[in-house]
Amino acid sequence: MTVAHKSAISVGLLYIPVGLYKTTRDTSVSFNQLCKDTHERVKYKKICPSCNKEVTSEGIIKGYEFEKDRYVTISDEEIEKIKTKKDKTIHVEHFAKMADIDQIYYEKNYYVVPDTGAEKAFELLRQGMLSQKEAAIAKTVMGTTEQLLVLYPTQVTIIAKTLFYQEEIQDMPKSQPKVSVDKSELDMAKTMIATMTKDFDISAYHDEYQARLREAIEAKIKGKEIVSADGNAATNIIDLMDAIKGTIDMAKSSKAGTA
Amino acid sequence: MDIFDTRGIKPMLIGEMRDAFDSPDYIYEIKLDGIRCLTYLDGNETDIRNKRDKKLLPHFPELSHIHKHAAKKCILDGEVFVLKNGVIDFYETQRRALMTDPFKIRIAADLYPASFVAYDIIYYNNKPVNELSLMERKDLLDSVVDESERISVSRYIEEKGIDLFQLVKEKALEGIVAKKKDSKYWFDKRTRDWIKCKIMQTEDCVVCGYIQKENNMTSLVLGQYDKGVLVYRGHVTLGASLRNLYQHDIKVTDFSPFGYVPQNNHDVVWIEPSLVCIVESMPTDKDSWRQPVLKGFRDDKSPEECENHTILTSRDSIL
Repeated sequence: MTVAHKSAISVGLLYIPVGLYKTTRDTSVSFNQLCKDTHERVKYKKICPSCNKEVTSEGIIKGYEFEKDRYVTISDEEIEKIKTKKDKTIHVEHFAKMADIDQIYYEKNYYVVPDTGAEKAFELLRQGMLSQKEAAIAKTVMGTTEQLLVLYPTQVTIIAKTLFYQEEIQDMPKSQPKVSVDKSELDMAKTMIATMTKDFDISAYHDEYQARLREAIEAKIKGKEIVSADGNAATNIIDLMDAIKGTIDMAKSSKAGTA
Repeated sequence: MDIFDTRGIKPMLIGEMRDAFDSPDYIYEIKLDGIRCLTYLDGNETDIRNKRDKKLLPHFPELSHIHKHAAKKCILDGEVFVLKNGVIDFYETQRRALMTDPFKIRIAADLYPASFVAYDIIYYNNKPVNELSLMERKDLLDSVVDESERISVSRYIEEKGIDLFQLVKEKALEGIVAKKKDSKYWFDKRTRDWIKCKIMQTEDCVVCGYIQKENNMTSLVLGQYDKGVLVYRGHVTLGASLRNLYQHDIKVTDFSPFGYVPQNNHDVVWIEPSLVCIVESMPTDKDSWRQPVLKGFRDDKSPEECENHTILTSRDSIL
């Protein structure tokens, strides 16, 4: 697993070098686009419809469409001036009760792993937060984006959750009208929920389309393998090592015989 | 808690490279072109760690049962590698170690299953055995491992280093390692008790940038550390597909990581120095490479560990 963000947690007098690692991986099958006749990977070319020529990256600039077909352009130098200073440190702003952070702000999770030598300080922070039942609100810069984070302790480690900013959250499409319900109706709903309640086990759920897709691909590869199997080549390292050792032993004994 | 429970063992390292030689004080083994690993085996479980203590089993699930072939709880030192068409394929091994998609891993494990070859034993039956001599450890190793398709013990020969080197060269293998018979196992130490004799020379370098040539080919700009300072080392051809570079986690930067722009390196797209690659070249006395070829990328070594080899040997001779 490669480190997604190499950083350090800075909190009060503590400075804890850490790495952030993704908690998830993409397991869905992705296809490549091939030319039907040659099975060659299809390439993208960027074409300007007016010059009717291919445009390379040096020939491309950034434009913002402020009204239909009208653009203001902005140069890389201008962007550079506005960019956030690359402060990769995770600055803890304050601590808060985990329940105070509405789950609607949660975006992505990362495992926080201390660098060698930083384990003690890391453990102090983790246990401290765990016993107070609090999480840390922190800021950092990932890539070019200023990222708001919450660091929360688990039994074994600290998880960093990136948070959406408030302006990224949309309002509900329409507000829920106030409806009054009777006690008997509510009891019915409660009974239904109670009868359908059981312990949650995520391992019981799979993306079945993906599973079937993988099966189909595997079957095709296995079919091809029969055609291209490499007949009599050594498939075993033991045979290879023994063959080499045998040759030398033979040379040795024949030399010993002639001496 | 002992070294078996705490894990994190740093293996003994080869301290010297030179031409093949014959000596009654050494044994000689084939140098297998794979990933150096420590395997922790007990009654229930196999745990394979690379030099940086990273768990490798998720990438090589076909090795999850090798503990069943060990007679006692033990830690073995050796190499994980993949055989493709009867040849040890370093590229395939490396490709697998960098894979994360469990489905792709499963397909690769079916097509080209990996094996582990043990060449040393460090821990046996609840006790470290690193203080034993190499030959005692070799005997112990032979008695512990019950060989199978997935786990075997490295063969060695006595005295005839030059003959072995010749054979290994004919079979297009990487080289040989000479090991001193009476030597102990030194954790995390580069010692001259182990000497490598290689057909091709390989060096680990940090990718610092790339140059796109007119013929659509890309060259990588490489560096190595010299006493903690990143210095320019040279170029190697990546080939036509820049995608091979961008599938790694690289970050383009605006300035040269060397702090200066080396000669003839003007149209370079600079990259933060975090990706390590292996360059293979013909042996030469000179500082520059002879016919360098990009052999692959590796994640079991940090950029800072990519030291300039010429510096390393001179430092060794001071010790």
